[in-house]
Amino acid sequence: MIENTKYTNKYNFAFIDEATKKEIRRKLLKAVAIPGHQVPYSSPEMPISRGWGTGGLHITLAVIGKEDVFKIIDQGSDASVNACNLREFVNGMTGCKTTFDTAEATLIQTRHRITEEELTDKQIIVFQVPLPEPLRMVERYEYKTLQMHAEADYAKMYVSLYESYVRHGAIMQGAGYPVMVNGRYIMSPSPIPRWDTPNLNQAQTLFLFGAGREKRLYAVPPFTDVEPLEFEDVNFEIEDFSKSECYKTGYKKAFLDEIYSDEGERKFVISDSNFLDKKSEKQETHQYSNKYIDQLQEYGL
Amino acid sequence: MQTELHYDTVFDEQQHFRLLLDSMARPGKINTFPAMEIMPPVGLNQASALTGFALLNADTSYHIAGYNGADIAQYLLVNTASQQASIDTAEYIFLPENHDGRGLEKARVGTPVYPEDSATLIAEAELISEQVVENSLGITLKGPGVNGEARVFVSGINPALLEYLKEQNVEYPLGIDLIVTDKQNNLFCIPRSNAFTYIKTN
Repeated sequence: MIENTKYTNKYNFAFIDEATKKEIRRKLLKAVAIPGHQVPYSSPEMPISRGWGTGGLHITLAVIGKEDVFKIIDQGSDASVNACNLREFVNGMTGCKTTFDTAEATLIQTRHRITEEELTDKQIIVFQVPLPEPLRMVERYEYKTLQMHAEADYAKMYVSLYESYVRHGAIMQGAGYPVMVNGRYIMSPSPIPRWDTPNLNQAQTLFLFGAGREKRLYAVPPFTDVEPLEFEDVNFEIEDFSKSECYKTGYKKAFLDEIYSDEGERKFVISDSNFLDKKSEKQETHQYSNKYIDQLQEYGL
Repeated sequence: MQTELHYDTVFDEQQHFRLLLDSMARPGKINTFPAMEIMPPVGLNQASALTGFALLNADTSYHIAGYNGADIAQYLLVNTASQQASIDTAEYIFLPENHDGRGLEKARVGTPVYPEDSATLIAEAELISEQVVENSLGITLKGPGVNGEARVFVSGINPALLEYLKEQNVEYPLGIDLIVTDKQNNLFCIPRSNAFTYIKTN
């Protein structure tokens, strides 16, 4: 007997209809072939507002399969509102197993962090990007930024970094520090802290970026040069946590969140919640290493 | 002609796309489509057909540069609802084994503002392998997605096609992306971001 399975579910697998998934998939292949280039895509309507992680969600839902183990973090935390709701949504629409364990996940969606543990070549990480256009802070018109990317005309970007240095004595851009991908495109790595930015360089993992509100997606394949913009004499630096430590574990070599207690006391805690759990339970972890983290010898860790 | 009964348009498609994405993100990496009971017409191997199924639908277009075009077009129309277009508008171009790249100079390479607005070639080959095979070209890839250098051996691919690809990809980011498939359901990709050299192995 032929069973009609089409109407037994209220929604298509992974919510998005197949035609739109295919469109996103075609664009993803192009994005991967041109690292750092923003590809316009359909950005279909989702049951959450644009700007709340729809871009990441579109990509996740276009690539996810039944066998995937899904993890989602928001500012490093598995437990924040955005992450919890999107996790429930993805789980409800696909029936995929979800996890908090970074090492177990095959598909990770993230808002504003890369996991503290190094990701492998078996994993894909998807970023929710609010503002994909790194040149927007120097050029307000879209048609002009498109032209600038087309001509690799990034002089204005460097001038703005220079001006920041002249005014403030440092390049003030904190999260979402602009990077040069494969020596061709300047890309916004989504507002990840500087701490995470060097981890994009020559990584094992495929990085996919989705900006739902701006209708752009882009990618950084594994083993791609991703260099933070800097000058010969003014270099990129990561956050310095040498004078602070996680109040739960005493650990220093991780991105720390600053928190205030009700008494106004200032404390620091590891931002990546799964990493914090593993450190608290003294489990083995495999962290990213890069020249910036390795420089921090005084940590003695 | 009827649609392929053993092909699942949701889950097979997703699985095959993931293999394509993996191969595109890691140029030179050989992935293999799981064996499927599909019967593409002469002139289209299984892996090319599955690549077409994973990417084509009514919103996109393809061109067939090989023989038996009418049958293949009918087959793709029935299974994907995609229509054949002329070579200068098609988003996907199916090539038979040993295609010499002639006529492909009309294929789209994108514009400086929208370089992704370009054609993807799906070229058939005899055999793709990590080891040297008879009458093969050894292709060495270098660029994003490759840790150092990647090496892949392909028989049934014409050096002229690779020359054509090099020419089209000189003005990066303008260019053409290539997906190569073989009779054993293997595939690998050469995205435009990668530079490559090739030598005849014997």
